[in-house]
Amino acid sequence: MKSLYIGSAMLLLLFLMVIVSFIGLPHSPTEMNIPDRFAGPSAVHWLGTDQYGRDVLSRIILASQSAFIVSFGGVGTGMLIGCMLGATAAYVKGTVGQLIMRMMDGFFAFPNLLLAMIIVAALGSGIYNVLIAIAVFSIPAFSRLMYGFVLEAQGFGYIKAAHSYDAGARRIIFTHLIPAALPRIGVQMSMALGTGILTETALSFLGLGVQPPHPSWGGMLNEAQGFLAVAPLYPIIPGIVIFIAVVGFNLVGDGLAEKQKEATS
Amino acid sequence: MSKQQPLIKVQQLNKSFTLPKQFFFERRKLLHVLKNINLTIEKGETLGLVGESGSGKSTLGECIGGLQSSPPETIFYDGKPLETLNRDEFKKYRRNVQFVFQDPYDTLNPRLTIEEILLEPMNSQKIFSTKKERIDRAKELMNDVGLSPSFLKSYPRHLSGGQCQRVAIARALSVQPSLLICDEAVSALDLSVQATILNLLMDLQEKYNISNLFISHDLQVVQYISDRVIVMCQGELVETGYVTDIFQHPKHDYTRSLIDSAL
Amino acid sequence: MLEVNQLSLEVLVGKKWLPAVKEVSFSLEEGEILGIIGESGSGKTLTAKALMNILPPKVRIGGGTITYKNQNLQTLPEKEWRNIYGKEMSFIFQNPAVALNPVIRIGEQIMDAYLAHKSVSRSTAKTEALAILEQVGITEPERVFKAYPHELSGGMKQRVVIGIAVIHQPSIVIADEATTALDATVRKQILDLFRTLSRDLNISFILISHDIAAIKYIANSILLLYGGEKLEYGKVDDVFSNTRHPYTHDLLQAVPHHAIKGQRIKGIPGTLPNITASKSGCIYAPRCSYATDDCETLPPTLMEGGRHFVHGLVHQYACHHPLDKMNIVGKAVLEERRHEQTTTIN
Repeated sequence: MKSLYIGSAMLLLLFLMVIVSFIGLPHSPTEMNIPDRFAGPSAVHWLGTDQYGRDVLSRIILASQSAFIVSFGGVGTGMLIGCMLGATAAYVKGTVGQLIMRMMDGFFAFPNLLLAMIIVAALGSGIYNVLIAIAVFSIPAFSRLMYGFVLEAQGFGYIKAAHSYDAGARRIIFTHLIPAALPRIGVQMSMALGTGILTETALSFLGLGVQPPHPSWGGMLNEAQGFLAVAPLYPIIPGIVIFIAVVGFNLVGDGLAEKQKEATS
Repeated sequence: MSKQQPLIKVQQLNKSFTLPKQFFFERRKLLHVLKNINLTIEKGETLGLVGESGSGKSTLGECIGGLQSSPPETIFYDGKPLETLNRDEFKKYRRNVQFVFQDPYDTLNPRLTIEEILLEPMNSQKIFSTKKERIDRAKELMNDVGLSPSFLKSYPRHLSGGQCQRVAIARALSVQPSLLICDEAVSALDLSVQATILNLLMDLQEKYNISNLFISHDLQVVQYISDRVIVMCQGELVETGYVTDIFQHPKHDYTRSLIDSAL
Repeated sequence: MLEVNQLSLEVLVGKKWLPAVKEVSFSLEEGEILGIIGESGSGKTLTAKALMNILPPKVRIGGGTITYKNQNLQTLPEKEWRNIYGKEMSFIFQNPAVALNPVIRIGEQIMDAYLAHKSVSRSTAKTEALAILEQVGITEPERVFKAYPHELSGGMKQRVVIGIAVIHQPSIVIADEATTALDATVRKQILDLFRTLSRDLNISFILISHDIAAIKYIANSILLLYGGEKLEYGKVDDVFSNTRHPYTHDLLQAVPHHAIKGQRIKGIPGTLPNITASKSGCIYAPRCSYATDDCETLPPTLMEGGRHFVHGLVHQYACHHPLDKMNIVGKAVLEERRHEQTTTIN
């Protein structure tokens, strides 16, 4: 229960960042001011400036946009496709079902980041390709979850009863199956979003994601590593933000899972 | 008087599942759950189906209720094989055979109110044209199963196990079935509640003249509620007959061992 | 030998500790088989868990003591505690399939249990394990010893679980719904096995179950719990043949066992008590056909009586209007009234 509250508080902070990024930034994130480079935190630049004198806070806030769009978009797409594949496999069973699930197992065998890098390498860098990569590696987990759930749900009394009075496929899917699956999908979503953000930052760190001069958390971390001696504070800031995002999503996922466990016992 | 057509006739029903292969090159193994089952269910009677876990009794119930597929020319409804029914007839058949399941808590969708649960079957089967009639019918059903209509706005979690099972019975009755399949319908209930549900089933059966296929592992309960009894063992039907005959003069060894094991 | 005195258990619901078991006392003598009967919400499983010291996180002991051979089990230092649990007291759970590790051979699991409290060679442990398998009625101990749990039937698995429970010749075995998951034919065999073990190894059993027939079949003494309260307690003969509490009577009436065709059994109207509802008076009053105004307001005190003073265990019951031969004569009238109630449930 505690983890849900702490996690939600962390995520709230990030959501605020995204909202602020749309309303207006304290400084221009791309305006260079070389004389002012590597300035420490001050009343003007709360988190200081980078190697070109750009405002770190503004860049961090703006980068939250791409981090969120890419992870939410990627995981969301992955969830939709994965759930549909899993549900289909569970319904048709037989060879087709087996084929789908074995393919998912195949995907599972690849480490997430490796798979993402292969996809980005094939499609080219850029945030939309990163989004696709995240979607692809999110698919197997969701399809497996949905596959297991649909098989399990066939044994629920109320699903069997609905079949017995011919409630119709649409009614069974939308009134009985999906609402029952939502809590589990929520947990998986939350965990996957954490991984999604981590992947986005990792790819941007490697220069495969968001392209400069547009800021990204991973990119900032990458730029900062050259100036560790001059500006030790600079790499810590994006690091902390990434930490908050990943831990926040995972805590929320844990909290939701815990809550679900309590509700069922 | 000419002999009436039985409500349900099951003829030489075999059913098997393929077991998952242990090794890739292994030949597919079949698990025979139902072996050559023959039975009839007459209109208005209670047929008890006893057997231990894994005897195939639930599978048989689900085959009869159309929840599981069965080979052609094995199950006859009102004299017609199931697979010859057209879409509308099949829908009507589905409506005529309703289930009450074991677990009182997973038998009702926890996210719907009792009213929504009771209206769904009537909506799907297009019984009554207006919503008001359906709601009136739902209230009537609640009275039938001994629950106050004020429960209609509650969710299943506010109800006790016995009350949930009453709602499940009301849901089954809402489409005016001619056969009720009770699959271990009272097994999960406490003893003091179980008796009231058994009596309720008997009362409603009299009131609406429904046939009842009562599946249970509990010999005493089956003996109490049934007119005729069928004993199943490992997918086979070993004995069938009137309640008193079976319990007083069991012919098959298995039936005898079942009766002897009663405490 | 085992003495439970005024045991109260509390469950955390929301932010409040609600009583789930209220001041329940009972005792267990050497070689005795005590049956605890209760429906859902009776607190029977919590009582069992308190005895086994495995209370779930949101349950605490609110008062009372559990004494084993003059040692208070709650205040016992962990070292001594370990010597008692699993060795002198052991447990059998409902589902034998879960109690055994699916990937370890049966023999290995029995030997593990044996070696946990005895430092002997593996070959001695093996002989001991084979002997115990034979003791619990397994005809081919050698084969079962090498088998994995999934190769055995439910009844066989339960025998193995029982074997593990009695391998140290404990003085008490506590079995929670040990026969519930089993088929009828197997259930009787397992109950018979309990009886043999109790006689041959002088083990006392506490059997906890909702299955009144099973308890009636095997137990020497009976404790009836309802909504966390002890309603009737005594020797089997006292409780079942000279029933004093209406609940016991009603419960026996609800068993569809001796029903003659065409004659209705009587269920008990109403629903089981809920832990969150506040109670005053007799807990069974709302469903009791003998209840008067007193029953609704005054909690009944535990009364003692019955015929078997000589047997040691006194017949106890908590009721304002205990049944006896006198009012059984006048029962016909009450039964009549009761039938009217049954027909208008809720």
